[in-house]
Amino acid sequence: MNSDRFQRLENQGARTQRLLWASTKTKDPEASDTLYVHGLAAPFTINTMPDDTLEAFYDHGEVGEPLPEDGGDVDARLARFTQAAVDLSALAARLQRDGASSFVNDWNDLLARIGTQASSLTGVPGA
Amino acid sequence: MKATEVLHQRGQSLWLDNVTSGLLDDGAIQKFIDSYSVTGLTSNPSIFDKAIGSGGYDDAIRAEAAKGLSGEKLFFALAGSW
Repeated sequence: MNSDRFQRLENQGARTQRLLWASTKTKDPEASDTLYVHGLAAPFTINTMPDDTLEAFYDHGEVGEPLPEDGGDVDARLARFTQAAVDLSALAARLQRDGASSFVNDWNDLLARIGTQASSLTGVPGA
Repeated sequence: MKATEVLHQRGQSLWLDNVTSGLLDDGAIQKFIDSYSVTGLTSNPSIFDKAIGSGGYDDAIRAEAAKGLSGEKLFFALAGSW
């Protein structure tokens, strides 16, 4: 984004695409309720969260150092997983597959719900 | 300064990820904007599923179904109906 090429585009009105952290509510009940909001603080990004997470961060959240632009010690950390015999590529592929399939299921459930609700409201089967 | 405002000041956008039509109707959204520095809203199929199941869209469903809409077309009409 700091390149001359992008700066020229920006002068022409181009807008930077921002990274979005989606649904950063803490899933583990044992962990801090502001874990991901704290950990994913970074300028020029978006963080989406439900109202209870927002309220928790408003109430007792703390802003620390922003995420390092160069990824910090990410390589060393990932190497430790590999040393512990975790297949990172396989795990990443599985997470992506599971995530996508969960969204497909939600979408199909939603369409089924709309069909049921419309039928019961209008009395027309399959409306 | 509250932590939510600090993040906002440092250039991170905070969005509420479970917007409902009720939140807009009763004005509760104003609190999120004023107090929690919220600058955006988003939703997902699961949230719509619950909202539709709880009857929140019944009037809109009647109106759109009467126009002959169903399935995905009905959904996008509902999603844009507030």
